[in-house]
Amino acid sequence: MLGRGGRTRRRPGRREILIFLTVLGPGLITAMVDNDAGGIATYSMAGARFGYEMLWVLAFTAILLALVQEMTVRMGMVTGKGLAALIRERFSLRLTAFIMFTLLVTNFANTVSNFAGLAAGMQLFHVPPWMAVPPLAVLIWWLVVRGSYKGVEKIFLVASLVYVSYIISAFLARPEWGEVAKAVVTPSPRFDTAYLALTVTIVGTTIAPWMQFYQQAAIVDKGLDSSKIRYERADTVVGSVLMTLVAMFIVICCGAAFFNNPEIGATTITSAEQAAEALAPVAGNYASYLFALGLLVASLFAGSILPLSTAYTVCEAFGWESGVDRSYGEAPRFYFIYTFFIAGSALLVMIPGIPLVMLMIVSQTMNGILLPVIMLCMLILINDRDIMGAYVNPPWLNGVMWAVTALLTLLTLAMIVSTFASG
Amino acid sequence: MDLEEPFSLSSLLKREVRDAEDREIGHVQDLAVDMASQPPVVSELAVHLQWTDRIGDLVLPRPVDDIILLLAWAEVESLEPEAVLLRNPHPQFEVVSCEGKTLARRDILNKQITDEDGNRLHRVDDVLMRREGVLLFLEGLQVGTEWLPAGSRIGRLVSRLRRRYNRPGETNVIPYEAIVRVDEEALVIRT
Repeated sequence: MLGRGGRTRRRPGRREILIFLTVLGPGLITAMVDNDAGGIATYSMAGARFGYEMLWVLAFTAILLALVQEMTVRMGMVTGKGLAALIRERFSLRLTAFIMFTLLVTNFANTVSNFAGLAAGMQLFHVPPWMAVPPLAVLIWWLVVRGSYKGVEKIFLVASLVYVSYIISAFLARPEWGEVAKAVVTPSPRFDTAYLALTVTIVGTTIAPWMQFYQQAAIVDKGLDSSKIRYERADTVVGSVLMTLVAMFIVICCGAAFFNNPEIGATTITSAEQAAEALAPVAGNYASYLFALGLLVASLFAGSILPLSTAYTVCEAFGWESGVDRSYGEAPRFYFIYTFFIAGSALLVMIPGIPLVMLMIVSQTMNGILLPVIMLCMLILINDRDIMGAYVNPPWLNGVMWAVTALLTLLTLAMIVSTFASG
Repeated sequence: MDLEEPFSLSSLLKREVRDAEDREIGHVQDLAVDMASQPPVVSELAVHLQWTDRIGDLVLPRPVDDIILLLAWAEVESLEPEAVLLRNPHPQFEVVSCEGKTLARRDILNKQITDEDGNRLHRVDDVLMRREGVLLFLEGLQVGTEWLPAGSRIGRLVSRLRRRYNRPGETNVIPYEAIVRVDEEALVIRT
């Protein structure tokens, strides 16, 4: 088949599609886990407060996310090492220890918020937290500890399908699709504090430090090398696009249901469960239940991946044995971190009156401190020919990535300042 | 730092390097270690030169900045607490090829330590050196620091290894005798 320029445009063959399906996983799972309880709450607030106005921010963030994650793909496939190992070997123990400590705190807070999402999701189905959280925590723990990574990956890939519930919820909320399409492609920046704060939160929620560690570790765990780099790049782009689509449908759903009906209380939506509950009178019970189901699965998904990712990352940084295929005796610290995250989070969310908002603020602040550090490390690593050989960043990408790093640093600083300024 | 006592590689890195005319010419970047000798001895000094217009006998078309060269250890006059002093004036040094060398910072520091079955034990938190006159020897691999203890499991292993190689004292240093080989991916020790 000839393209416009007279050059042969090759269709992907059956073999290539099969290779892609084999490689598929790390990019898609990382992106999907990104739509966790905190993410859903952020997108719900964006839709409720600003209608479709912030859809362009999501489109822009998807490009940033794909660019950042593509670098982790290259580093993982070229070096066969995780990001934590590369940072440790290229930089110092002190920097590594700082990154790991910050990552532990922020990932733990994120895990707690996902368990809170889990509890809230089950409450929407009239199951009290004390009845829902302990068995689900055990299920999450058992699933990863007793299963193989391949099996767990398949379960997560199938679980990703549940995000379709947000697409259906959005349709049930009857949005005006013409306005939606216009909002996606028309940047409409505003400079009021609420809009800026939410923009920063969306970017900060979407590009989180754990993602770079997790995807690179998953690539290494899967044994993918540089010969399959274009397939893993495709996996990453597919993941980023799907993640953004899900986020957009959450914004569309809440925009249609709440922004156009201010009497419902658009500005009172501050969490995913509030959004799910408030949907019922506007878009019907089905929309409400589907939204709650999405929250439940997203929380389950992130509640298992975050502890796993943290345990792998910390063990890799300090050289401790790790892996779900190892016994407790062989990898005690790996299991301790994983179990502590799940058990600790499950216990915390069952304590009445626990200040979860405070925990979230701590998590966001630590994320904000960590992200620029990680980005700087990644840029130094990926431009080191000793490590990357011919796979260093081309100059144009370096230009883009330095600009992105500067932008992310500014945005996260703004987020920290606005968080503390708003009390 | 008292150089007669064992000292860590990281305390030597970045230390000023001065030539025979007492000019600051760069800093310590790395040390090449001859792992075949017993104990392993430092055979070359990697210096991050601020600039040079000559590499060994080769005169360069124009001076280059920020270049790392491996100098024969014979070039080292003395190790002082504040600087490493060289015998010859810059840039008249005997330069050595890096090929096949084990560099303490690049190949050992922060490296994953495994046993002979490939089980991960810890990473190298620092490399301990011992001085005899102007010669430096590899003393062992430090696991854990004052602010980040290594943990009881690796601690027990280190104690066992120290007893095996007749090294008294309760330290967190794996003796060099336990090192089997330095691979690209990991440093293998005999447990």
